Amino acid sequence: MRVTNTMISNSARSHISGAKNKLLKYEEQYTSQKKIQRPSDDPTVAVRSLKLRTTYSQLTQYVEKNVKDAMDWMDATETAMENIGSLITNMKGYFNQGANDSYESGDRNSILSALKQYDRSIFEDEANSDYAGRYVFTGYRTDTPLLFMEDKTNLSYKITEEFKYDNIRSTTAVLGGATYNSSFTNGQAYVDQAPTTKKIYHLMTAYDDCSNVNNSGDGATTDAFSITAKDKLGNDVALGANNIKVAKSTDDDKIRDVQPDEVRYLYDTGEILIGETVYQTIQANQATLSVDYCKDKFLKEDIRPEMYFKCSAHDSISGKDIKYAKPDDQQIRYEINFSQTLSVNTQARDAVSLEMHRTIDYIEKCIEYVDEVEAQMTETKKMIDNENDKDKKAVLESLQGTLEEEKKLRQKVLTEAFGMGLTALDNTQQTLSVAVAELGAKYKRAQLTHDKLLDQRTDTEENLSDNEDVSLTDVYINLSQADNLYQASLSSTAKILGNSLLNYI
Amino acid sequence: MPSSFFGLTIGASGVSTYDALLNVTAHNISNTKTEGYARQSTVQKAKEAISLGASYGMVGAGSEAIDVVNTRDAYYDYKYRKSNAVLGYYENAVYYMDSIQDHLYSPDSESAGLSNSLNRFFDALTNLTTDPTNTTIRAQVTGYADTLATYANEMFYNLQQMQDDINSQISNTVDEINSYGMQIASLTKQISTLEVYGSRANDLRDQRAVILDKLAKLADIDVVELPPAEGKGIAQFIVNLGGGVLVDTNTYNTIHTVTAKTFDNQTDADGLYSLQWSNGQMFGIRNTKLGGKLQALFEIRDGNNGENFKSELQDTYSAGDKKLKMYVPASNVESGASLAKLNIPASDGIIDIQNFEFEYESFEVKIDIKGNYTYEFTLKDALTATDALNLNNLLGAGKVEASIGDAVEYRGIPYYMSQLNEFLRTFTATFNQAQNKGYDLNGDKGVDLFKAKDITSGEGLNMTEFLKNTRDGYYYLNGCKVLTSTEFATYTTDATKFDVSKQVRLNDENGVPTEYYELYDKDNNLVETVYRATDSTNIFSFKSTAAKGDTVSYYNMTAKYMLTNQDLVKDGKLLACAAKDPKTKTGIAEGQNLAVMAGLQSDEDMFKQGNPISFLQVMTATVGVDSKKVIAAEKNSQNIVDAVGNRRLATMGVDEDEEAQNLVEAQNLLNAQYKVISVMNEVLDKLINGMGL
Repeated sequence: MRVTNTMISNSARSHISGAKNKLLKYEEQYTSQKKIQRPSDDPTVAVRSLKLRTTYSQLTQYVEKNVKDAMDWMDATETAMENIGSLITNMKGYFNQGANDSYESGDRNSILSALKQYDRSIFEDEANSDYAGRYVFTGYRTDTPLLFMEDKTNLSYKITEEFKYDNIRSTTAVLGGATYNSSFTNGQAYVDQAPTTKKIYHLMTAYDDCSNVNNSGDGATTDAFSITAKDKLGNDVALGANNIKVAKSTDDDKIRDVQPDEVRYLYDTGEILIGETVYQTIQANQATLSVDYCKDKFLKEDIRPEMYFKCSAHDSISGKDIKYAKPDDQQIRYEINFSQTLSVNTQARDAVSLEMHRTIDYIEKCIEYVDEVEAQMTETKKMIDNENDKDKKAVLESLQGTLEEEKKLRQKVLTEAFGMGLTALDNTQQTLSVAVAELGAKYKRAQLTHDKLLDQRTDTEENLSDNEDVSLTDVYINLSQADNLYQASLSSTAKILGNSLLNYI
Repeated sequence: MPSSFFGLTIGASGVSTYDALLNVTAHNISNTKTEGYARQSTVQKAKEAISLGASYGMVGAGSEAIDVVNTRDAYYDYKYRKSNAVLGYYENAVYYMDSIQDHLYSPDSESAGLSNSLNRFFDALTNLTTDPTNTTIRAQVTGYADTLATYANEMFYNLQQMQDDINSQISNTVDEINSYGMQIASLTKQISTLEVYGSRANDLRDQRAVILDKLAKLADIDVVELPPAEGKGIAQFIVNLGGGVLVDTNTYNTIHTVTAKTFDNQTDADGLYSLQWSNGQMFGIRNTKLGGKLQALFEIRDGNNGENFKSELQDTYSAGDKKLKMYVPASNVESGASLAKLNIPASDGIIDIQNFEFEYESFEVKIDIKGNYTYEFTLKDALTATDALNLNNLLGAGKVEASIGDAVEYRGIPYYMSQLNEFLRTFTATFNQAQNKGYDLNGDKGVDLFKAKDITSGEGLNMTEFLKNTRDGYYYLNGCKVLTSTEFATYTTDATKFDVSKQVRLNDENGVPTEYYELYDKDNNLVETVYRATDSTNIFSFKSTAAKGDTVSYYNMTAKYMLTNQDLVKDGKLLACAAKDPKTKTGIAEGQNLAVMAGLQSDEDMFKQGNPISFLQVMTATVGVDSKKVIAAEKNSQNIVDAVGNRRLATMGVDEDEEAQNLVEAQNLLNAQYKVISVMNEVLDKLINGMGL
């Protein structure tokens, strides 16, 4: 083929430009540290990059924020629950003392006040704790404390509390009892008044000092109290309670004498007394009871009902009605991995049972009764000492005897109450242990996820870098090669173009 | 015996012959660098000998230069121009594909980009799951949503800007073609004038060839040179371009840009050009044989991957009708007629029914429960009697296809705009649907986070989500399952799920009953809200020009008009993270709806391509592979052009060494001729002056 100078110069030009293009490419890679500038440089790298960047950014979010936050939250919860655990352990001794000995008034009351202190500490210091301003035990209501922070008289609640057939406890009630009556001339009159005991079936609702009027604005019913039962299969059970009585414990000294087909609700103490027949029906069906009751007045440090129970409330100031859903399953779920969530919170209702708290109230009531009898006895003793008339003295001594008997009975009930306290404590501890164990498992899972995510992130970071970042060594070698090529093309061009036949003519 | 001076004449003929050779060589040398110059050479021959009847026979009469020819090879010219047209096409395609890539892809995770904005948005949502009550993170989420929308708008403006640029490039290219056409015609005229006398106008032909080479890069040309026709004195020289005649010997046609008043695609820039010949003939811009830069410009400006709107004309028509009804069965909507993909202009579009064209003002779409679409176009001008007759005749003969916009088999700007719109429509509709289902921190129902801009007022419109759930196969209207009245009767009376006695029919804000029904279970928990379709066939309808107060479909949601609801940007509390009213029912930390929203990042059912990032991945892969293809093709065609160019230079190029050789040779030979003359002179001198009488 005939080769002309222009052909050589064209070819040299295109080689120089090719060398420059290569130089530009490697220079771009060298300075940007990225393999590609555009998808067309390598569509596979571009597409993989998009995916890896998304994965990397998600993993970073999970590992640096979400899992960490979850663990911090659980730490806060765990600390609170551990503290509650040790408080409960400390209380055990006091219940034991009460259950095994009969004490003088002062000792009884000091045991009681110690128990009450511990109980307050459980709720006020621990169950009400928060993590970075968010309450940890209150489910989705992280902005609301577990307890009322001030006295509330404008809120009227209707509370629906559920019990199981085996929550019903059998206790002894002391019925009747003698009181001083100046018209009595015969000792037998006091003996006739001697108190009797009765085995009764008994439930403690979560609140005392309730109301016998329904002010909750819940339109369904105006009853202040109602009780329904369902069997294991969820079918309604007729309790056969022909008479439901709402009363106050102080109405009558035989108020606890519940009849077989009766249910009595003492709204001041929050006790539900169940008659024998009704009790048997409940047991036979292994029924679940649903009890509605009303409470208008809340004191500072009272537990907010919506944290534990389904309820509705009427605010007499704003005039608003609020219907609170059943607070179960309020799991705060953190996304801790790809489409994996972890519920980080523990609800108070699942960790801190109210049973012990209310049993302490019951013990307090029982101590009050014993104190009352003792006060009467001291009074009678004084009267006996001051009485000179022999007959009258004998009548008073008969009273004293009856009171002595009542005191014994009342003390027995008190001991029984402390015993109940021990059972309640065990149950409470049990509930807490389950919650702690569950939290521990979740914490472990968070930890494992954290480690796994950290590994994954490192891998992804490597993949991402392998995929889109250049290896400095490689690109430097490439760059040097491209530079050599460029130099070579320049020198060869200079050599060829410099010559022509004309030089020799 | 010849004349005594005959030898002198032979010498003179040699002088003039080698003088010509010397001059041609000098001409070649001086044109070594002239673009398109073809090496010239003299054709020389011995002069006719004279028969003198002498004993030694014929006597040679010297030499003569009879022609100066150039070494141009028509075959290589043809090859060069054809490959130059291919190169012109790919060169421009590469340039604009690079720009598209720059807009669609960000080279690292820090820079702005659709996928990066999307990642940040979802990261913030995931972060929010740790504390749905945190107003700072909420503000972050809505802030990133705003970034996403702004970025989409920006991408749209960049792409549209490019479309505008290409459009003015088309006008420039056409001007260039016209100027070349004029030059070719004028050169041809000069050539014909000169060549009438028989010699070839080599240098003018070279000049014309250079212009043809350049023209070939703009569009594929066919050059025909015909010998003088019967009775005509000059050769015909014809240049064909794009199916028309650009140059016919001394005359030329020009191409004019015509500004379109109608649109092909929903988001096309205003005033795109089509072309017309100066003789009134239409210029076929969709001609796939157009070639060169011009074809690349049109394909990138208008390329929609062949996915134009195709439907089936229905009904019968009479004069004065202003509406045309068309039907797209569910099996075909995905090719460009579905709500997510619909890319036809809201108004000022052209319906093409077997070459009858009708301009429409607006349209309305109805979708039935099976997913069949019925379109009703309102025409700008009522049908004439002839129109109606034509349409009815077509309809009588069988299925009639009606299309809008051209099918351009290239993935250009309209394709990527439509991809972007499809992405945004589906993503925002799915997100809004989730947002509408939840409750915000104030206990109110969630409002749309993403809105479409009302063109007149600039405000965000309240959107109506209409989505098919691929998991259960039901359509959902504003997040409520759509049931026909028959389905409704059986569905809602399923006692295992619902308590019929607790069913509630919802009212609109004016207290008028709507077709939305709340279904509750036995325990009074709201299970779901369903929509009962009243129209016996259609379950959803929308207008192309929906404004405030109308049903606004996601057809209006485009990269151009996408907005973030500024109420949410200002107040992150309005993000509906809770599944139930957090104020009264549950509590502010409830984030069950948030989990649903954050989960959309990995919702594999959102797109045919998978989750949102997968969609963008496929889009990136498409643009990457397409660009890589044109880059490779550009390199390839550059190589071919170089090779053909070299082959051509091998025959027509000037070589300095060769010419230097010729120069020396010519010089020597000329000197030899002078010597001949001098010898002859001496001989004659002797004869005349020296022969003593």
